[in-house]
Amino acid sequence: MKQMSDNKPVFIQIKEWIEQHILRGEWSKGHQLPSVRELSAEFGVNPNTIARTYERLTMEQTIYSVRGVGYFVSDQAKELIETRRREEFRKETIPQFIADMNLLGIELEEFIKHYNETEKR
Amino acid sequence: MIKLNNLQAGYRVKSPVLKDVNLTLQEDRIYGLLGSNGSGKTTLLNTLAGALEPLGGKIEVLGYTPLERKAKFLEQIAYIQDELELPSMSAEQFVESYAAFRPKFSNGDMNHYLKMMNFTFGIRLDKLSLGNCKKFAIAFALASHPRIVLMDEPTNGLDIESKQALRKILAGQDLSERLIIISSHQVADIEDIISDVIILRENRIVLNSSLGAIGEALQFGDIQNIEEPLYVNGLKAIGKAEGDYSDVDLESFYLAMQNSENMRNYLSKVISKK
Amino acid sequence: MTTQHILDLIKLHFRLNWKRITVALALFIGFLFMCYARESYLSWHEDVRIEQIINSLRESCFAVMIIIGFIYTIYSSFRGYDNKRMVATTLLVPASTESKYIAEWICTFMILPLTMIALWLVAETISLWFNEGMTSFSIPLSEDVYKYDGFLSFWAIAHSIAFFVRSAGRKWYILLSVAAGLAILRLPLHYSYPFQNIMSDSHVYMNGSHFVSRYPVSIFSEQMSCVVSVFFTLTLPIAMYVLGYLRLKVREL
Repeated sequence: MKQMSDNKPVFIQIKEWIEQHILRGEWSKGHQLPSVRELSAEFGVNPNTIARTYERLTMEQTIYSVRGVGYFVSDQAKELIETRRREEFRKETIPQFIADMNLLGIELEEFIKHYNETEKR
Repeated sequence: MIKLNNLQAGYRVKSPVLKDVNLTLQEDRIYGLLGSNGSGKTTLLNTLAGALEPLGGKIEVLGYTPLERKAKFLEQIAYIQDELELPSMSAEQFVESYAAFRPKFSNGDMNHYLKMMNFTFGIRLDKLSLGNCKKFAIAFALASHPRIVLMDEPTNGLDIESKQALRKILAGQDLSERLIIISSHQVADIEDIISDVIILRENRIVLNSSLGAIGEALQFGDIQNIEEPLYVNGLKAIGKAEGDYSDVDLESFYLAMQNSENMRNYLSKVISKK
Repeated sequence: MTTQHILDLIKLHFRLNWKRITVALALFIGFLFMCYARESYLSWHEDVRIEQIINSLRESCFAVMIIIGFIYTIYSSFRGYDNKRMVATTLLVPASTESKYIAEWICTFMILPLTMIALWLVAETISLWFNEGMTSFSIPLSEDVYKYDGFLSFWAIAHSIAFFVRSAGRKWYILLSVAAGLAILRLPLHYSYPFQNIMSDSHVYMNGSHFVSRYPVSIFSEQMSCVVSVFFTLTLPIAMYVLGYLRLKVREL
C-alpha cells in the first residue's frame, strides 16, 4: 500500500516498505529494485528522498548499486534485516511491551494464554 | 535559472507586499513556497510570471525580464493560479486554441494527467467546479513541458486522492533544466514532494534552503542551547528515527520559523555559512 | 511577432467572442433590413428625392455601424486582459505583445467593419436590383473625408476607452489619451475643414458683399487644409493605437 502515514518520517516508511518485500521473499538476492524515479513517482515523493533511502540501505549493505544499471538486493539482505529487526525487537519492542503490561496490569499468565490461543489459529 | 536582486514587489510603491527579496533558484528542484495567507506568495508568483510589474530591484528569469513578456519567455513558463477562470469553450477547443502557442505540448500527456487526477470530462470549461478547473489547468500546463512551472496553492479544492495523484505526477517529472515552485499554506500537502523550501514572513523571505541542509542544521547545530519550546517541535522527527539519519517535520519547522526569532536567527546563520 | 501567432490569436478572438460578433452583425443586418426593405421605393420617381433618402439612409447606417462597432470594441477588445483570474489564458499567452495587438486590431478594426460594409453593399445591391428607380449608386463612404475620420477615430477612441475601463492602475494615463484624442479630433474638423462648395455649406453665409463663416475658418490654404485633414485622419487613429499599445506593454494587474 503506497499511502503515507504521519507517524514516521517518509524515508523510514519507504525503507520499511522495501525491507518488507525482502523479508517476505518477494525480492530475493540479486533482484533489481525500481529506479529512484519510478519509486518516487509511485509514492508521490521527491526523488531526493528515495535517493537518500537507497543510500542508507546501501550503507547498511542491504542493497548495492551497479553504476549505470541500478540498485540490487544483496546476498545477505534478508539475514541483515532480520538480525537488525530482532535486535530492535529485543532492545525496544519488548521493553515497551513489558512496560505496557505493567501499566495495564496484565499478568504474564494471561499473556501466555493469549499467545497460545493465537498460535493455534 | 531565476535571480532576484533586492526585489520589491507589490501593487503600490508605498506599501510593497515583498521587500528586499534576494533569491537564486536553480534547476532540478521543486521549491515549496510557504507563508501565511496574504504573505506575498501570489505576489511573488505574479511577478515571476510577468503579470505584475516589480516596484524595485532586479528580476531575471531564464535570462529574460518577465515584464517584457517576450513570446520566447512566455513559452517556457506556465503559471497555474490559485483563483482561476477558464473561458467558455470545451476542453478540446481549449487545447486547439491554446496549444498552438505551446510547441512542446503533448495531448497524450494531458489526458494521462487528467485521468490520474480523476478529472470529469465532457463539461464545458467555464462550468467546471473549482477542483476540476485546477486539474485542467495543471494538466494543460504540465503537458506543455515548460522549463518553469509556477503553482499557486494547487491543492486548494482537490480531494485527498487527487492531491496524491498530483504528487505522483510531480514526482515523476523529469526536471533537468527545469524547476517547479509550489506555494501552499497547507504544509502537509507538499512536504513530501518538495526538495527545497522558501519561507515568507512579514513581507520578507526568511529562508531559502534545501530540506537536507535544514535537517543538518537542526541536527548537528547548537540548537539545543536555545530554550524556547517551539524549536523542539522542529526537531520532532530528528535523531530518534534511525541513529544519525534525520528528517524534518516541515510543519513544525515552519511554525517554529514563523514564531521564534531565535530559530530564524539560528537558521540564517547556519545556512548562510554554507 | 509571427504571422502564425497572429492568425492563432485571431482564431482565439473569434472563438471567445463569436456570440458577441453574431449579435453585432445580426443587429446591423436587422437595421439594414429596416432601412432598405421598404416598399415605398417603388413610388419614387424623382432622382433628387431618392438621392436625399439614400444619403440619409447611409448616414443612419453609418451611425449605427459606428455605434455597434464602438460597443463591440469596448466589450471585446483585449477581453480578460485585466481579469486577474484569466491572466494565464489572456495576458500570458505565449505570443509577443505586438502580435496580440495586431491581432486585436485586425479583429475589431478590419474584419468587423469590413464585414459590415460588405453586408451594407449587399443590401444596397439587392434593393437596387428590386428598385430600378434608384439609378444613383456609389460605394458608401466614398465621399466626405471627415466620415472616414470619424469612423476610424470613434473606433480608436473605443479601444482607448476599453483600456481605460479595464485598466487597474494609472487610469489617468488613459483618460488623458482619450481627452487628447478628442481634442485632436475636433481641431481639424473645425480649423481645417475645407469648404469646397460654398453654396451648399450651411455654415457659410453672405454678409454684405463677402462670405462669412459661422465657425472659425482654417488658417491654412484650401489645399493645405486638405493635407492637414488627411494627416489628422490618418495619424489620430495611429496615435491612439500607439498609446494603447504602450499601455498594453506595461499592463499590470
